[in-house]
Amino acid sequence: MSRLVEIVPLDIADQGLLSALCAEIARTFPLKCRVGASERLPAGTLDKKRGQYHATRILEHLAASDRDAFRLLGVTAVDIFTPILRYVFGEAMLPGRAALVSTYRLGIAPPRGEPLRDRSVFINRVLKEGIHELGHTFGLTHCKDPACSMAASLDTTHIDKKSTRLCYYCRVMLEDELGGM
Amino acid sequence: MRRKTRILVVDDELSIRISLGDLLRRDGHQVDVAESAGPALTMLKTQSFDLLIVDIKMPGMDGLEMLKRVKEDDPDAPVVMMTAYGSIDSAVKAMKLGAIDYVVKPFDPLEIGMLIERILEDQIMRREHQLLKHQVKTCGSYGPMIGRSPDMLKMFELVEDVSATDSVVLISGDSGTGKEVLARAIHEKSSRSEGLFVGVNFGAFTESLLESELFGYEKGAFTGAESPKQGLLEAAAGGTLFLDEIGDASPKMQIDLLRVLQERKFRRVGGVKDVEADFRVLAATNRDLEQAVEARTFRQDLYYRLNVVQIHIPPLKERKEDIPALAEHFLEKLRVRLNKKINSLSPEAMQLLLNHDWPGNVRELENAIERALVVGKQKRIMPEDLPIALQEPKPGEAPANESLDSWERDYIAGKLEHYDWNISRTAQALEIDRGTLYAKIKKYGLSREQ
Repeated sequence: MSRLVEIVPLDIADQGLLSALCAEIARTFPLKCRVGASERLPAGTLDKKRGQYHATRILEHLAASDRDAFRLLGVTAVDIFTPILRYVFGEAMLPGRAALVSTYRLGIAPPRGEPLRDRSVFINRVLKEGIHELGHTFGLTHCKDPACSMAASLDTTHIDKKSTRLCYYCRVMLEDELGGM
Repeated sequence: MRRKTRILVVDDELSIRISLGDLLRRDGHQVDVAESAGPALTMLKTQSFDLLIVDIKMPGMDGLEMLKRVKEDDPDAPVVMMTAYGSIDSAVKAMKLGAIDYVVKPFDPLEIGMLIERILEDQIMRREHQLLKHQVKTCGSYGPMIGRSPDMLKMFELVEDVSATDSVVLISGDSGTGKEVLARAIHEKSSRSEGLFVGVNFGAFTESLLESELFGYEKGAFTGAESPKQGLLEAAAGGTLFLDEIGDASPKMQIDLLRVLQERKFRRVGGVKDVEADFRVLAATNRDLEQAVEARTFRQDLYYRLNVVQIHIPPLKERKEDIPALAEHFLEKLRVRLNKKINSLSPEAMQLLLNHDWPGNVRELENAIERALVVGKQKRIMPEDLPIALQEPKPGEAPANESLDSWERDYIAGKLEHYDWNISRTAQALEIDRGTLYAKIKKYGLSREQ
């Protein structure tokens, strides 16, 4: 399996966003990235009672995929949850093959003609959360440095405070992990 | 953080155990789970946790009953109760029974994240406070390394050799074997003995506290850093830095230490100026670091840097011949401190010391002697003065007559030498008659020439 990260669009068609995420992943991780073919959200992942999609089940579906990338990052626009939390921005295997990020609560893409500032805040949040969830798949846990991408994202203000970059320590631990693979 | 924080999640729903476990692991905690109160209470008998998160509604024993039992055993145990069916009544009951908080499932991510952080910070501060109190109490209680077993004699030779050098030494051994005592001995014998011996325990403190204590900080490096502070690395300049429980260092701290050992310089937190690392490094661990390297919980590059010379202290059960000398050393040291008139051990008490396996090693032996001195009413330590664990015979085990004989032979030989083989004075000191002393000399084949 090639050392490639593949973004898997799940019922999302925002090509600009997906390309920006792919470029940021390639800048942050010493890995290649590509946007793969999009697919529908897997059947049986919608919890009708909660009106949300079950993040862990989507991850299981991604991990079992026969795509040849060694890491898969699902991106979706629907609201996702885990049984213990009311919602999550993303979810990942710690460590494992699959990660998932949802744009649902990261701000809405502005309608046509609106200033780009709002869109850039939204895109930045998605990039940070995508990098964050992908970091978990390499065994990285939450970092105490609020500027590091691996800092916990308890709400959008936490996300806005951090960058898309990994701090020195998380970079060393990532290199350890990649070196051991 | 120091060692990983341990959290026990008790919930009958598998999906909750999995998702809450995953959530906590992503924060770097070690998580154990139980599906009901019974197995959880069994786990609590043998393991300790920094936090318990318990569901109220469970089949069999419910969460409130479990909370009651946990608090009966340990009133300080931190427990958060959770429920999918929030009601004022059950919340009041939980808080009255001593729960720290009560949360309704599913949690709001911000609410649960901040709650757990607050509880664990309180816990860590409490533990650090206890540890500091303990360190103040035990400060200055270090003594010389004692032993004449072949393993210890070999170890002493190695200590002599390494003391003359500036090499990094990794001291391994079970808890209570005296790793810090050995480190201090190396420091005292080294050319750095004029400098300070600075110890830091990686098993006890939070990562952020360790970082600022070790490296020091500049003014404004973080909230509360109102003036610059020198760290332990700077305090150890010219002396020895002792990294205790190094196997518990966090991944981040391992990276920092590797950098110090490689570059022989460091910076204060928030600082821009390099400080020379002018100290000798001694490290100690009771963990199998090779195994930790294999399990990838300890950095291989740091292990190689630390494992230049390794000294292993054998557990006390593997060197029982050292027990008499150690017991006498502690007796002498502690009777002065406790102002007691007890000046020897009865042979029966010594027999019990020799029979015991000493899982807590030399530290356990010292505690047993201290206890005996405190409760003892006679001039000698008697079997009944020793802790009960020593007095219970182990099933199927014959008494260690050989060890006792060996101890008696050495003891009598020592007294004879002390009194220059004056039989009357030696017999008097041993509180036996001259005939018995002659019989013992014959039995053990003692002679003045030996």
